[in-house]
Amino acid sequence: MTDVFASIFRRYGTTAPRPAMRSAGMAALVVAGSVALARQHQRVTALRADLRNREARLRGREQELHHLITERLPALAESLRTHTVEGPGPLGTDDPSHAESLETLMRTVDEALRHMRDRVEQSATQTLTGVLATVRGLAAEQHTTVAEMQHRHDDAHVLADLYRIDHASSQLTRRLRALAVLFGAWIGQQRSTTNLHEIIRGAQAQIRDYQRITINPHAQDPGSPVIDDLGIVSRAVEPLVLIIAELLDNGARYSPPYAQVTVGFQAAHHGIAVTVDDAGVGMPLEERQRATRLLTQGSATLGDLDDPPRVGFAVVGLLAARYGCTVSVDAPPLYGGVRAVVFVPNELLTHDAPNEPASRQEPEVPAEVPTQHTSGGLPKRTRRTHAPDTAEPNTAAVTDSAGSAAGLAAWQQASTAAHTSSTGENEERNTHS
Amino acid sequence: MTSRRRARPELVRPYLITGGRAHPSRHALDLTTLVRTTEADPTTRELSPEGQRAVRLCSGGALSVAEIAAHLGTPPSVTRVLVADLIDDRFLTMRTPAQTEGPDGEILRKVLDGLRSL
Repeated sequence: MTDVFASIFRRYGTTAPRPAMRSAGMAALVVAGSVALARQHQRVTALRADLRNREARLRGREQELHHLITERLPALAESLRTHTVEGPGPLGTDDPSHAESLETLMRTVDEALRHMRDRVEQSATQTLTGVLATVRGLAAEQHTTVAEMQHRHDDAHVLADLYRIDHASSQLTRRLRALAVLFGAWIGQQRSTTNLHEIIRGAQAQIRDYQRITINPHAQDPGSPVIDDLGIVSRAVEPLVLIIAELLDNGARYSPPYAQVTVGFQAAHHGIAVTVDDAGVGMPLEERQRATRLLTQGSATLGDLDDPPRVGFAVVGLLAARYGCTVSVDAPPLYGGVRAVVFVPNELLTHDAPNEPASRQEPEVPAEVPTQHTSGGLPKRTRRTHAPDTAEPNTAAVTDSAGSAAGLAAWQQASTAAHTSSTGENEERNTHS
Repeated sequence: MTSRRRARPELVRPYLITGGRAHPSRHALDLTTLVRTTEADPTTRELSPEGQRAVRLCSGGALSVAEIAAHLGTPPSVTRVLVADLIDDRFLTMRTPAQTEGPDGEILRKVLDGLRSL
């Protein structure tokens, strides 16, 4: 070894280092080597850590992706179908950039799908509305013709058939009107201000089991007035007829064929509550939730109708929101059936309805006119001095306004009573009070 | 089809008033039959609005079925069923002119002769 160094030094013309210097060089080499080794080791460790880190991130991403495919996308599809909003969120790994990309992806897919669904629904609605307008026109024409025929014909056999056609026609018209409402079309020609009792009977006429409906025109509270004095303003007549008809139909459909569906009235704070009670089997919780959602959300799409389609609650909810009524359904265990409550606010009520003279009014009984005879012996009919036909317009006008004022005062009284007893609770509480 | 605007059917349909029946429960009832109330102030609270109005109309004296129909605005066929039910429920009673002191055959013949000679 020493010889080798000596020969090297000789060859390059340098003097050989002294032995002390040689040993120092060796040490330096060793130090340098060990430093290099240590660095190497550090790098390996770092690389290993990095690898583990990347592996963990990869696993995280794989899990997140798996979660996206198996959970979130199906939930998104479901929410588009059922119109619910919330789906499961991300798993939440500490990989913000990846999470952000996935969120962007989800958002893009969601937006694209919703946009497409809306467009499909819009075009379907447009097509259906167009077709519906034609069909409604024909149905209205048929209904009018059948109605006119009933004034022309007097044969009971013909009339019996006409009644059946009229009944079917009324139901058809109601169904078409409900569909029109659902598709955002006009509900139809307005009627003039109408008595509330007549509105309920009109609704009754439009359902299949109209003979199973009992109307109790007297509010259940003893102090409450009758509804004969109450009218509904023109614009709300048809909507209210349709709302009540749908609720009556629902009540009759989901109760035994021998049971009655009862319509009642309750004075409520700032309005009147119309109650529809059936003696059916009640309503499962899921159904009730569906009904409540449709009745309160004020909007409905084709996706809300189920298969086979059930339009009742969707239509009622839409109309209620549009005209400022409130409708709720409840299954109080007390009744064993379902109670639907329609709250009609004071804004839709009027006391100027052309009401049929109320039975409570004392009829004007004229003194009996003795039958006179003609000279030939024929009984002579004399015009009664206080005949109802001549006296009616005047007395009706007077008593109507008087009854109207009395009715208004009574309603105010009942309203106040309801208010103080329930301190502003909603109409549903009042119905149970 | 006629071009004139046709009235919409009324909200309360005839079949609702008659409960779906087209045949009156009494065949003797025609448009000229006179009816009147059985008592002066009957309690009509349980009756339909049309029934209540019919009873009230008749409380002033006898009216024919045709007159009741005109006042109620219901078709005569509907009114016949309604009035027949009210008679069955003893709210109204019939007063057929022929059953009361009507003209005898001799007078009718005279009237007929008088008409022919016109």
